[in-house]
Amino acid sequence: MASWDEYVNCMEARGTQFGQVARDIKTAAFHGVGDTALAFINSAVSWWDALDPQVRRALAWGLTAAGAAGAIITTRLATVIIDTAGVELLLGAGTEVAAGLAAIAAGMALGAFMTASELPRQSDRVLTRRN
Amino acid sequence: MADYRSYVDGLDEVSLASLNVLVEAGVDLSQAEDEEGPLALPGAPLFALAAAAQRPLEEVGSAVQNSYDATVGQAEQQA
Repeated sequence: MASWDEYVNCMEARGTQFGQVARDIKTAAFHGVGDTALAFINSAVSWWDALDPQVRRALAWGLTAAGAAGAIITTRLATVIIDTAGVELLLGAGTEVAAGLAAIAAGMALGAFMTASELPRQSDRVLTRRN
Repeated sequence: MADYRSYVDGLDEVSLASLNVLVEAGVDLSQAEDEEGPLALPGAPLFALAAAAQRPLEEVGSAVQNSYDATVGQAEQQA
């Protein structure tokens, strides 16, 4: 089984809406290319793990408190993640990624992989599969 | 003010950029709290100011510092 499929299965196990976010990320943001989508997820996990702990708390709170501005915030955060990832796969896909950031934003707004309590567990799964 | 600048200057580049995304969208981090309690960010009123201005944290810190220095300098000249 491909790593991306395993990731989607993990998300599905947490609820249908989470599985849908994973599928949307792949189809809408990455044109169905699982390797690129997984690279983004791993970059997001690395970004989150590297953040100052208090900043992590501020982001988790801010994403829920932002209301209407949430979509703008998540799109900009996705850009920060891609800019700082240094993953050639993502940098090369910049234009395509920009066109599909709405799906990523939806995933973040849902808390699919951007909440303090959930992301570390997901991080373990993704990184374990990579190793 | 010193606590605020120390905190902001001490953040790594990615953490600061990520925090600025919230601030520049107008999110007032001085109100932030979670299940662990209030975040109690140092210099909280300046975080509120940055959110109101929707400007980066480091820029607001510099502007406030410059304004403070100018005011103190003016007061010293008048004294």
